[in-house]
Amino acid sequence: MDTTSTSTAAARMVGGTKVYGDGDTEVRALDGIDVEFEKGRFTAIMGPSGSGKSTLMHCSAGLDDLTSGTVHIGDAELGSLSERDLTLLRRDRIGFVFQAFNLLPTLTAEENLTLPLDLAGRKPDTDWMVDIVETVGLQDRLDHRPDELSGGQQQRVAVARALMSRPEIVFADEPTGNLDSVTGGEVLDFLRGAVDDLGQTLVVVTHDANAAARADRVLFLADGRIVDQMTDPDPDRILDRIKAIGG
Amino acid sequence: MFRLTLRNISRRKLRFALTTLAVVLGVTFLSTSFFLTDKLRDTFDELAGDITGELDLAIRTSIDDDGERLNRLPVPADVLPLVADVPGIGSIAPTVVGWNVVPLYTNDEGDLAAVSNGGAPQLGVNMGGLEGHPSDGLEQMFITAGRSPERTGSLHDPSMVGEFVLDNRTADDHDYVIGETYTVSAPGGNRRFLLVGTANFGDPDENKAVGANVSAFDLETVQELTGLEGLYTEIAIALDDGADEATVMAEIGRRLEQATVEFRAMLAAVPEEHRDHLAAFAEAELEVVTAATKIAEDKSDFDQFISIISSVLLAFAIIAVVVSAFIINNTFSIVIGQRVRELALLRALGATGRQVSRSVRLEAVVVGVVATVLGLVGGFLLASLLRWVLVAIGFGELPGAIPVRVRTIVVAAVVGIGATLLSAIGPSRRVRRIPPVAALRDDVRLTPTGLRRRLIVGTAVTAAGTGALAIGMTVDMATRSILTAVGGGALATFIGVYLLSPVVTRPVATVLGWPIRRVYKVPGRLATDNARRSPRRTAATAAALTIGLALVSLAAVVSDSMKATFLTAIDESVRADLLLHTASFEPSAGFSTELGRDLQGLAVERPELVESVMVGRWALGAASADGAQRDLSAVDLRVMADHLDIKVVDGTPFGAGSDGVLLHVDPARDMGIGVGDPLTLDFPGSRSVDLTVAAVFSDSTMLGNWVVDVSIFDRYLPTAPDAWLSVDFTDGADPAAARSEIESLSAAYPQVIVENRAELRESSQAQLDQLLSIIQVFLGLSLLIAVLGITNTLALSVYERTRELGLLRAVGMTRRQLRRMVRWEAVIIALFGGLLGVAMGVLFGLAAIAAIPETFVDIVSIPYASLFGYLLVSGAFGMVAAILPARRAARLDVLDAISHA
Repeated sequence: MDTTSTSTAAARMVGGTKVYGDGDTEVRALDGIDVEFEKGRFTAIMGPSGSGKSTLMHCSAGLDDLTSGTVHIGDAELGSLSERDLTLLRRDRIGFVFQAFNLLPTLTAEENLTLPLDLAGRKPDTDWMVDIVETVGLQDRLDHRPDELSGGQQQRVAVARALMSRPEIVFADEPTGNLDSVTGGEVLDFLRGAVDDLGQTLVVVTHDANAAARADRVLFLADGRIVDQMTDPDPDRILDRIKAIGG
Repeated sequence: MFRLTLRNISRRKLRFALTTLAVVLGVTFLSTSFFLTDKLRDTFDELAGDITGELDLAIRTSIDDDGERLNRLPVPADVLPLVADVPGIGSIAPTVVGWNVVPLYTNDEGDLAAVSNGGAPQLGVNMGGLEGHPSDGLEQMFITAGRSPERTGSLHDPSMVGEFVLDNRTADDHDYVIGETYTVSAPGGNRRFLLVGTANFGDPDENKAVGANVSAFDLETVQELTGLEGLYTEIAIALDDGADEATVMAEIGRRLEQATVEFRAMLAAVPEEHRDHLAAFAEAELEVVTAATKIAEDKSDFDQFISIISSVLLAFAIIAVVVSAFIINNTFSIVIGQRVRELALLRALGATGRQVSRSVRLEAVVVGVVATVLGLVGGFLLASLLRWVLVAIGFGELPGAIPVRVRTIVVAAVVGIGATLLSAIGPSRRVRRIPPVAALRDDVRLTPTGLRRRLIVGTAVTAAGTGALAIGMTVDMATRSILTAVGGGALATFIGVYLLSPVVTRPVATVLGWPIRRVYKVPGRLATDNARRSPRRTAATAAALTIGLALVSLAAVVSDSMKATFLTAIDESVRADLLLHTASFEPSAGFSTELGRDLQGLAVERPELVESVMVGRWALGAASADGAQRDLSAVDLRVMADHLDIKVVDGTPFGAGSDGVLLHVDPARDMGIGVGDPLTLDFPGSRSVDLTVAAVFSDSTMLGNWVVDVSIFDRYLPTAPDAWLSVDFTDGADPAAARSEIESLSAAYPQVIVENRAELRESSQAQLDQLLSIIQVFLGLSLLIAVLGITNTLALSVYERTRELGLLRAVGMTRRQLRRMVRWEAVIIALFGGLLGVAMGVLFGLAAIAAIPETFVDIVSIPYASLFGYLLVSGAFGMVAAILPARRAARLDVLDAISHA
């Protein structure tokens, strides 16, 4: 990890604004957001549909660009990077977990796991991989293809992949959205463990209060603004807050 | 449902365009062949009418119905006065048309050069009729500058300078100047002529000499120049207004019959040794025909030539349509596969399976109709372009609009819509089985029937095909049966291999992808995986390329073997030291017998240099024997053995003197005759000659299947020119010295090429290579359609895999890596198609060689380097095909792609 950085934030957004369309159809998905995601912490982003929570994640992760404002991953300002550098940054310094379709159907679980490293032409750290694979409990599933894995197993492979390259930050978009509560719980346990045991920085977008309750901090979004935040959350307080916001 | 289908099409423009494009190309090539052929045919039909002018009747010698018109004998000049006073005849004029009348000129380097036109006829014709007989309306040439040629004296005096007129296109092209003197090289020899004018041929306002060179002289001069003294090619007659054609014809016919009887009686009274050159023609039967008959014959002559072009174009168009059909079928399958959810939704909303199926077929009809219309427009434009090319390369003028026939439109529509509909039948059946619940599931696929049935059927068909090929290659039977076995076998093998190819796609793709994976790691790995992913799709996409490459490889193997056979034959059979011939392939091409006489004179004067000179002639369909027209070669049988070794297996060439006929083993076997047996040849003009089989030979490369002594041609085909000469140097003579003596004589005939064995070998090889490259370019065009097919499949695959591509980009695949992945998938598909194509092409080539008579091919030569080159080219085509889809894939917005439904 970057030790020369003076900030304790793994990623930060300043004055983040994202506008879609123009004139009558203009939508301000993000409306002047200032936020930091601290290193080694688990941040959950919540908000009603259309609040901008996914856009916040996409813009923070370099998957989408801001209309105005800046995003830093470590000391790299995303707006100043070329398309290629942005791709390499995603490959080397960011991990992703999507709601579904996280895995390439033609590759085995192991190949999916090492995909970003392979794309970079780097050798995977074998010990690290063994650790991760053990943690997610996929030892005997490594040579299976995605269609031979359950939904929970697929998501666990996706999480393992996100951690494989020891990224500065992992973004997860509704990682448990397609899973039943038990399987989802396992995935969340594992994500929590990555933060506690490995010091991983994690940002999760979710609308599930139970998932958000596992975070160190919860940000509440509405109409493209951060309207509230909560540290050491629990599900009841989160639900109350959401009701208050009107989600 | 109808409106829904149309809306569907208008929404998915790209997909629709891709589906349509393949059919458009097929229809374009098909309609081009019709448009262009119709234009050529119309032009030549018009030409046939134009050059006939005001002629109503023509008198000429008759030939058999199936006889070669080129060999029609001339009419004795004595006939004309016998019929000129038949009541009703308005004008009567002799027509003389002689071949191989070549105007010479001095080129920019100051050398004597011959006008050449790429093999079209070079004619000498008469201007003006006979004194005392009006010839209005029967002219062949119409002066546009200067004046008509006049008689200056007999050309039997070589120093005499005559007068001539050139068709104005030839004059323009070679900068002939009126008032200058030129040499004309004709069958009667080389003579000097003053150019007194230029003229249009066939029509007062327009030169109708489509590509030919026409020189015109006064009647007597052209007769002397073309060896037709006392003879006319035919007699042209225009009737008085109001004269009854039938009555006039009947009277002319009566007089001709009487004349024939009289001529024959006169001839019989002359002892054989006193008969002059006219005697040969006195025996011929005469006939009178109408202008309509002549026009019909001219049309059918032109038609033979147009048919060749037409067949080539049509063959290519059919290949194009077949290739297109593969592509569109594949495209439909993929597109339907991608629309499963949408179609299932329709089912869930209450559409019956039949309605869904019908909507797919309806879409196919719309695609077919649009493609047919666009294809016809494209065909018209391409035909216009080709016409421009033909005119530009000096083929002649093709003025006026390109005809649009109802037939063209109907055929284009039937093929365009038909092929599309047929291609849609399979997919439209499959959609019936889509359950409505599929609309709710995420990852639905149309499950095609298992590969097992394909494996069984494919194996059976392939086995039958290769079996038939093997029979055709090994079993001894009639040529026709062999061709049937080989042709049918090739077709069955192709279909069988096509059916089987999905079964082998995975292993082959793995092997082909191995080096790519080594070099490009992840993108290479994914490229291989993607090519392996849907074996049917890969196989069907590759099939289009397979067809093209199979044809190209087939042509390469056959032509390489033909070349090897031909070159070996030259090496083995040509014993002469020098060969002289013209560059033209025209059946009646040749040169003055004076050159042969000069060279034979050299052999007498300088025996220390030249041992002997042999004259060679040939004529298509020269005589009929055993019920069929035969192509004859004529050589000097006395010296032949010194010049050519045609591998005599029985008898000796001069064994029956000049009354001998040499037969190739094939016709000898077919006719069941051998050395010593009598054989009757029927020449044009109902003249028969009884000959004896003197030898049977096995190498027909140089002389064909039938060989007679040149004296037979002198008597029965006196108009056949010397086509080639061969020179045998005296043993121990200095070849350079001998050659320079020969060339000092042949220099006056710049249209004649002098070659020794090595040069002959080289120029033959160059000609064969050129022919092959033309064929390859033609066949290669079908590969362009195949490239489109790969592009199509890739574009659809990229669309289908949008989410995957988004994921790859999100986790860090660069655009370059993504492009590389798509590109190498295309290369693997293309190489797969290429491999199958080359393998089948070689197999078919070997079978074809077995089927083709040994005369043309008996040495098998496989051009490994070329075949390997074709593989590389197919790989390169894959790269080209991938350019657009790869770019499209790389430009996908990551977020949009990930959330793509």
